[in-house]
Amino acid sequence: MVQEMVRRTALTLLLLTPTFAGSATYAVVEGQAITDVDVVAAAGHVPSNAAALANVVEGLVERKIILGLAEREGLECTDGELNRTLALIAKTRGANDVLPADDYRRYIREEIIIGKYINEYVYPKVSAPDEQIERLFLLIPGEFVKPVPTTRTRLEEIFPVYRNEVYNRYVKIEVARLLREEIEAVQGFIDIEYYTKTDKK
Amino acid sequence: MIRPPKPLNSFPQTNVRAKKTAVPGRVYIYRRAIVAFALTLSTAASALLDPPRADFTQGMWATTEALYTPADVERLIAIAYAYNFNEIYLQVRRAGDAYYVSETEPRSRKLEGQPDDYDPLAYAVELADLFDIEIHAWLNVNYAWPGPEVPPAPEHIANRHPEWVLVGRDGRRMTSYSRTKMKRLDAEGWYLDPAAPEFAEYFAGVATEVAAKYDVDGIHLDFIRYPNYRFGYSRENRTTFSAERGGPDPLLYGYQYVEEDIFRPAYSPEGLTNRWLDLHSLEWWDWRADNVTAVVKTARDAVKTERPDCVVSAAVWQQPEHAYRYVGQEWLMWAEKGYVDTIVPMAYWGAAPALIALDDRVAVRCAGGTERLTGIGVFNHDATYAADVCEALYDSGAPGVVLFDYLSCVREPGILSAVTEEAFAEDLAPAGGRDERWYRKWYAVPR
Repeated sequence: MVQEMVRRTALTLLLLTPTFAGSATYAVVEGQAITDVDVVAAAGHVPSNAAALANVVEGLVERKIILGLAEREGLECTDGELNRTLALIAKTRGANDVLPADDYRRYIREEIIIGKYINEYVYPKVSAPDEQIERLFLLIPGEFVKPVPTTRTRLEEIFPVYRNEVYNRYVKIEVARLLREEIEAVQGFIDIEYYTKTDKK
Repeated sequence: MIRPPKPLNSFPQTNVRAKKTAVPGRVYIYRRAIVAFALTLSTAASALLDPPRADFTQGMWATTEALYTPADVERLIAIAYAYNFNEIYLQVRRAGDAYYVSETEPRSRKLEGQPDDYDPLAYAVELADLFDIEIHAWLNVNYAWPGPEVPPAPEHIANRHPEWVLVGRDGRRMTSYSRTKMKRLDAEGWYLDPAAPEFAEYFAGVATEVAAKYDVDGIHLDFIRYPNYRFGYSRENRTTFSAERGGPDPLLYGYQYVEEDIFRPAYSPEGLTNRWLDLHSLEWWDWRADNVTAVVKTARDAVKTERPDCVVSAAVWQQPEHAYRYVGQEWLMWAEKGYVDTIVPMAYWGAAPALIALDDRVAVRCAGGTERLTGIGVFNHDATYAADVCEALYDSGAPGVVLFDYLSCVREPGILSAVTEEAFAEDLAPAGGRDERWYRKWYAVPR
């Protein structure tokens, strides 16, 4: 956690450096660049706020790291799988009119691979005992029920009604936490370079 | 604009043709009264209009209120004839009940004041045939009962198969929900699970019984869907889905459906976790849609086997992608593959250009021969809107419209005349309050 904060602070400071001259690359992870194109694709624009930009860049770095882990395990996405996913997305949300087609295909292909990694290596590690799920509900009841009952006894009484919804939230928190652990475990061994805005690479 | 009311000399003057009905019983025909009433309406016609397109469908949906008594049926047919409606989508199954004689489905409680041999559907078919109006029997498919009380009839399908009633994300069946909870979850009442192993076959039997016994022109499927994305989470469904499509428990992605940011790459562990579930959810929504499609196909195949000439149509939600992901209606595919003979999007919202654009989009998918009509909402609009959109669709070459609904048409002053560009709006627009008692009184037919 401390390591994470230090890294984010350093990245923000780098991006705050004046004489901003519009380099297209923000970071390179194992030889793969994260550029303006990626930032705009993810966020819709390049954030003018340095902290917000750092957040997006760091998130994309994390994406690259997870993708690298998945590809190291030999996980792939076939054209058939990709085309099926794109067809299902089109049925649900219509055709992509946000990103260039090739870029969009690449991003979805990467996410299918990352999804396989989560299925095989992360999700099986999630344990969701009932007492933990109930604990989450008692910690943040306002996320699930309004108005929030005023007594713990009443919360415990109504928990079964919200159990599945809380389970959903619990698993998402756990998967994200485990992903972050995986990232932190390998980060020291991965070649990551961050660039200031004046650097042209 | 679409079709003017009938000229004076068009009304049938001969005696009622003897017509064999599938169901024995006294036929209530008050021919003189119907003719007199329709003549009264037509007398006021004055506008000279361009000849209407002979192939244009001018239809309307009529809910069960039009069937409570023989007089109600007569008024419906008289008004439809006077205003040149050539198709009526007549609701004969509203909440797992029957406004016809059925060997399996309970007779509606709303008919309790009528003689036992009063058969609303038979009577409507008889009368409509006199006036060359098509009757399409409208059957609600998955919607079964308003709840929360159980249906009084033991033979009601929800009593015969309570295990078919949908389960929500909380793991509880809809039969246990209060009215408040159902409203909060955006459900009109109890729905039957399209994934239930024998449901498709059961409903095909309901539809086939109507097609076999009555000389209806078509079977019209409505509420052929889930209530929304919050339902269908029985343990059996989740197990079956996971076995067929893989992935984690559908409960994990039942709380979200694919948002627009699917078109942007996800980032950070939290974003990637959401994306992982989003991509899996695609299979879940697709599996649900496959279940609904199976019900449509099974019903259509069964009806066509019994009566190849019987048109099978479906009322579907307006926006195709929303219909697919929210309620499991993959209706553009139904149209494209011919799983229904006629598709009727309920285009109740939007101005004329949007409705024309929708009709154009549907036309492309109907190139294989499926017919299409556009459902127009008059329950939520005024006469000006109804006239504008009907005229725009007519001029654009759309094949037809279906107005929702008959009761709204007669309650809202001027809608019928605006749609048919007729000048006697005042005759149909009483000054007082408009409720159901009003229209029954106003249209009282002397016997």
